[in-house]
Amino acid sequence: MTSIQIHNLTKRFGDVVAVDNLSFEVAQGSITGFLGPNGAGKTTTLRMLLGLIGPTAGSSTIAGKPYQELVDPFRRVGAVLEATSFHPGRRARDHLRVLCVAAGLPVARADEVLDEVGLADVGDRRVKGFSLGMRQRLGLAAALLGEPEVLILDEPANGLDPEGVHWLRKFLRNYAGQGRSVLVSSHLLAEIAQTVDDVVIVAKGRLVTQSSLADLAGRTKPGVWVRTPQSQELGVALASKGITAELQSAETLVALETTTEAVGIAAAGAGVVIFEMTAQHFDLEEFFLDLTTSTTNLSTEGASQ
Amino acid sequence: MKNLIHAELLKLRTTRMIYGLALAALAFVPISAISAIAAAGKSGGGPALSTTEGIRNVMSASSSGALSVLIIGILMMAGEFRHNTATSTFLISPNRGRVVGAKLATSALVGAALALISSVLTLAVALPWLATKHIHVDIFSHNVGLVLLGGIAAVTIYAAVGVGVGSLIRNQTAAVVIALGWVLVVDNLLVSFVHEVGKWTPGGAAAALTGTSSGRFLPMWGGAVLFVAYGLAFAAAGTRFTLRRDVV
Repeated sequence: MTSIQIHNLTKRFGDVVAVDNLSFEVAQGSITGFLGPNGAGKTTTLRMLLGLIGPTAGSSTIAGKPYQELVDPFRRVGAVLEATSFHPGRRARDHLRVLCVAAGLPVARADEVLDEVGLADVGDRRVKGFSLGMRQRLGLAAALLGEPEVLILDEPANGLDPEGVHWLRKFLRNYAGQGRSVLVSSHLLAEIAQTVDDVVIVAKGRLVTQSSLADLAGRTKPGVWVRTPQSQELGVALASKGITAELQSAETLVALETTTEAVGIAAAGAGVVIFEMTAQHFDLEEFFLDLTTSTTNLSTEGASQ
Repeated sequence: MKNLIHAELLKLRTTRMIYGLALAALAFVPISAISAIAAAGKSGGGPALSTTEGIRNVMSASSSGALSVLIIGILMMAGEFRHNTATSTFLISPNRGRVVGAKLATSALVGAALALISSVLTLAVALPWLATKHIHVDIFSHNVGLVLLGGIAAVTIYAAVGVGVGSLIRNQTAAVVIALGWVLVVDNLLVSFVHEVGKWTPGGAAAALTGTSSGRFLPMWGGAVLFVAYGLAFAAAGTRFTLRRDVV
């Protein structure tokens, strides 16, 4: 079942096209990572989804309806958009109570969510004394007040220490495990690679790819990096066994789509000396960088034509 | 709407800034009452205390907290953008007109409450002092009662006008500076030197309500209607043009 649907969404700010005909879906009960470099249009997309920014064209729905048409939206959708959306002089618990009252929720929820995000001890403190990590947690607490079935987070790991990031991952896993959906944006794939089921990758406001994380990993093929004084000979030996190799320098080459065993056997057969050999594992981060920068290059070429 | 108004009241109660402004609003009252009595009948002061005008002038001290109340109204709306709380406010109520409506109602409630206290304070300072001067004031008399009521109305509407200004000018600092600059400088100059224009300005309308210098201003009811119209027009224009803009 689809819980979030983005349909041909476009947003122009003057001459700048922040989001360019973007479409993707988030399945219910899954965690979807919304990835792209800074300035790719992630925040603009999320704010359009939540009715805070009016789209230039296209539409977006949550549970089949535009956000503005949801009944009790605060109980359906929780959102954490920026780390500092609090009055600095208001106590954390009071901030949450204000939201409870406005949304018609019992004020006791404030203490429950403070406990849930680990801020129970500092609920009486004014927010201006909070670290960025504490503000992120307070923002998350606010999003959880209505026990929403959809959670939307914009760069939630910003300002969190490693322990906080670990906590956030566990939290989101647990949340999606209850059949609820999470859409979480990030400019760092590694930050959320361990957490997400699906990824939506954008660059320059356009969709680069949407797939499951497993499919994405399957698209890159492993190789073997070799350092040898006889790189030419090894290249020939590998070619005779049908293995493609790329010479990187006089002393190093990379054998593509193969294993260390196959390279070792080929080298022994040809009498090639090997100084160093490493299997190259799939590097999601590098792949992500490749995907997003190639799109950037494409669009630059497009603009110059 | 009821929830939103309750939430607005809670917002006000949970920051210290508002207590400071409320305190400032109330502090102005005894100060202006005292100076009005002290200066009455002297050169450069108001009319003598023996005249009706003199008593009305003293009683108009009850609306001297109006500017602080105006700032409270501005902060209620523009503060949402300054501290990014507009995001969660609009997420809870995507209908931004309802948010403005709740803030108008809340600001008027707060303004009215402060104005009532101001009236009581004015009487508490003025009556005993005037009694020592053997001037008896009947607070239910047409003159005194009307000035106090007009003052309460003016302060109440000032708060709502503040919300209107804050929704029209989202930048909190700019909104406060422009509003104070207008009231303290432009409006004062117009009221003092260009009566025909001055009596139609927001400040002129408010002054008509407090009814101290009749003749130069609109009749009291006219001032009330005009001042309310200013507040609603600012709020409506703000809702229509400014608040609908993207919250980025």
